[in-house]
Amino acid sequence: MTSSEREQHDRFLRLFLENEEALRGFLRSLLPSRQDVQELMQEVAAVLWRKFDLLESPQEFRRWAFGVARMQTLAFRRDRARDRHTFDEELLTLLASEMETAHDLLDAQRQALDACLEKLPATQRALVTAVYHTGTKVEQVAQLMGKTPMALYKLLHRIRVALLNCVTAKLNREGYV
Amino acid sequence: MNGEHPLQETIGRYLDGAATQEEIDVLQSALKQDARLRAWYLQYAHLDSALVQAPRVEVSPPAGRRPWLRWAVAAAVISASVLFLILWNQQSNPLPTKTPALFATLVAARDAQWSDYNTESALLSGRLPPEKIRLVTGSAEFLLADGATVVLNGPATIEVRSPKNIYIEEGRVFCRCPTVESRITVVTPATEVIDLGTEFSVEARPDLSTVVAVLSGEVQVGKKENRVLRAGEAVLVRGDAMLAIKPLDRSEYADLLRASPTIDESNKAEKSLLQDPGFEQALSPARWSGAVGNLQLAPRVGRSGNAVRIHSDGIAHWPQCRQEINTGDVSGKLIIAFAWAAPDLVRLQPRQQAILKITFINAQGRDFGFALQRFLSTQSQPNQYEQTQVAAIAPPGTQRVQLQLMFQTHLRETGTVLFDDAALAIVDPRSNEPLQLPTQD
Repeated sequence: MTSSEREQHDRFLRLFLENEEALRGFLRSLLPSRQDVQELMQEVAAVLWRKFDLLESPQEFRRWAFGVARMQTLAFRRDRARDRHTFDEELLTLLASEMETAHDLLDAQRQALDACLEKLPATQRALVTAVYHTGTKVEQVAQLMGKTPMALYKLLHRIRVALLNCVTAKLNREGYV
Repeated sequence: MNGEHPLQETIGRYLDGAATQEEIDVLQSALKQDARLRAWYLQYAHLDSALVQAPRVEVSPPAGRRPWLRWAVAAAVISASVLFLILWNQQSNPLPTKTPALFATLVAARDAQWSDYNTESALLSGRLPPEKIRLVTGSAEFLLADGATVVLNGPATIEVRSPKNIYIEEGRVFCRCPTVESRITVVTPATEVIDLGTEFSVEARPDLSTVVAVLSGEVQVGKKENRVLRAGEAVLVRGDAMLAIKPLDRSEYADLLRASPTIDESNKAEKSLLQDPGFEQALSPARWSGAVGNLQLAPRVGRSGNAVRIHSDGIAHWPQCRQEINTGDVSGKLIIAFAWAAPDLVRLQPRQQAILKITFINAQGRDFGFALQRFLSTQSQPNQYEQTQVAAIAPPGTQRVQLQLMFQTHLRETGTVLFDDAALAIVDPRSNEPLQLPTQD
């Protein structure tokens, strides 16, 4: 790698890392599988780097990256997820365009989340850790807890709704929404 | 959205991949028509994504000599389940904030067959059954909570009673206690062996005798009467009598020494591909390179010896230390990197982090893929090292791999991070097969 290539790569990496979480959230809103999100993130990162020369201004990075991610998601859906349970292209396009305008709120939401997580009871926090950080399958967790998978999905949903309500209340207090 | 929408739960199931096609059709139609539901959906999906990145309870490997390769190979398979099970077992208690109290973890296994499925499944899930476990054939390596390594060669029956106490009913076990904290006592039907800082083997035989052999350091052998056994000595104990002390025949222990990739001394050169991974020598482009003004050798502040100090002066762009390895064609191989880092003297500022990164480079010198892991935060204690790892399958065409230790900072922000004990290894993913978790039906 020459030094100019390295500098270019560092510039890319800085922008990519600054926007990585937003990009991951963007993809998550379009795909029903965390595993697919992870896989597609790698593809999107590779495409962004390959086309990085085309980016006109660093300030445009997020908008550009969201655009690339949207195209990649649609291609991914067409090529690999045809038989999976996903939304159709019309809805995905609608969601993507609304997300591109809502990213400031979603950034603030992410920042408020840590404080809300702290308020979760220990058992619920443990469940979140199991499902989100260790990648343990919900079915496995359910088996260990002696619950049905459906009961666990409901519990997870209740935890997420509680977190979302907490985040929204926090942002309300801070004047975001 | 105030109040619960009837489709909110369906949204949850959709994002968990558990919704039926009929539910998805209904949800899709509602989302297209209802802008408020869409807004709620987007927030909920974002929250789901953010949860993956949210702070979590970490399982920290013990300090001392680093069984990093074994951690790396086993990590993808075991540590996730370990983390969960530890948390779950403690659900009625306050959550641990640091290293959880698990006596031992299976970190590597080679052709291991356990006495029964329950034992095997528990071990592969990161749990240690609270009773005797029997390894029928093959070898298995455990990492005890305080840092000792215990390698079993089947057939062997053992019970880990605490992080400091192991009972061996039958079989030969090799122990390495790299630090004072990691010292253990090994009990057999015939005797008791107290480690005094060493590597030793204990074999409990079916006739109730025990053979203790010391490869390095010293151990204390005996219950009532005891004596210190030194490196190169072996003893046979029956009843409580020491029947024979003789020089150790290392060839007798070759199988045990081979059982662990980190214990086999001859294997050491293959453990890390990096030159001077611990920054013990002067910084040199032949080993580590980076912008000279941002790098400095930091004597005596490493985990053992020196470290490298990466400084951001507020102008420098992404200060880093890097090393490029000519690996040859490693397409499809698992590349694993490890590193330790700590804030230097003062805490990091918000948005400052350490980064461990591996970059894949093809024959033309073009980098075409990377994997990275960020660690350290404002919560990290100055000069207390934290470890991270990154693992990725090398894409087709990879001829060289670059490892980078980076300090993520922002313009006009200064700060300093210490890095130490980096490692880079190539693993054939197929060699992990014995560690695969049993699949669920």
